[in-house]
Amino acid sequence: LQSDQNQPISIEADNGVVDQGKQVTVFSGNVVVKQGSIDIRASKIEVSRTNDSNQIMTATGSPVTFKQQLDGGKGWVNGQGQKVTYQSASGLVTLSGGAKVQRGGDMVQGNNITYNTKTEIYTAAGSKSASGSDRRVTVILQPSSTQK
Amino acid sequence: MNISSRMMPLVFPMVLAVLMGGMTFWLNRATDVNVETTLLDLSQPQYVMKDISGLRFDAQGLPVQTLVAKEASMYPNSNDVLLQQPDGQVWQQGQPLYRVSSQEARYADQEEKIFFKQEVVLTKTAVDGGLEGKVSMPTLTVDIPTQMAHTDAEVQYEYGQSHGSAVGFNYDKKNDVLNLQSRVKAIIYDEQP
Repeated sequence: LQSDQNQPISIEADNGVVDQGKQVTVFSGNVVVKQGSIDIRASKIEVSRTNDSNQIMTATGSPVTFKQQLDGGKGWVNGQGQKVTYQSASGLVTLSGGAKVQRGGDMVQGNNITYNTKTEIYTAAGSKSASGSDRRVTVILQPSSTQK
Repeated sequence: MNISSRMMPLVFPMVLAVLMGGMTFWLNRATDVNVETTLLDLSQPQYVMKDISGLRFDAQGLPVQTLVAKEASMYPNSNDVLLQQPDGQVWQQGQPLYRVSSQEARYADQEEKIFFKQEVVLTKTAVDGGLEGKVSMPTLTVDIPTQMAHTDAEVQYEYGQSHGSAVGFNYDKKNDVLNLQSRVKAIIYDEQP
């Protein structure tokens, strides 16, 4: 939801380390982050502050799960990946490592998926597998008539 | 001339000798007092100072540390100092930086540690336009040589509107690292001081 950005961030974790010198905070162990309708679950989350006071959040897990409610009653977007980064300045969420994003009936799968929480647009990129073969992006789009 | 008149010249010095000898004997007895060391009551403080206020300056004459307390006391056979309602502050370049207050504290001389008890509040003053941070807990141990603060108890912390809790923490002042040991909860607001 657009209003998510204005909500406070709630974080719960088993452990937290705040390094004020480096302006880095690391939460680890059953980490749950919520901001409005955004809900992120991970085993570790690192929050760092850039020089221009923006925040970069990097979550790792097996996998990290992410969900957010869409405006206009269009349901939810769910995402997962081995690693998820969120940049507060751009509102971009980048999922990597077996990344998958599902929105209603639509589904995108690839190695890298970038989801813009402001425009609700996501882009996906494949990758080369260990054997060198291409791992292509999979996209499933439901016809709008079936999305009642 | 009878004997007594002949004895008179002898009697006076003899009496004088007896008197002087007696005086010496008595003075010797009087100064020969056995000092019995009476054991102090260990349950009572040996020294008590009320409403103490201490201030330490740096080479430039700026305050470095201040300590105010309702009472400071020391017990027999101990170098530890017990403080009632201590309120200590650390300054830097003349600006207040940290403050620790509680209902009680014990400065352990041997270990160079301070043990704060009851309503302990650790405050980091707002600097460079930042916000004031405050951590409240029932107990806190400060290790002076290593500049580490530690508690195993539950702590509540606030930073502007943001707040949270955890169970146990370590604060390494030299490296400016705060480690919240377990059950960490935080509600973080986008703070504009």
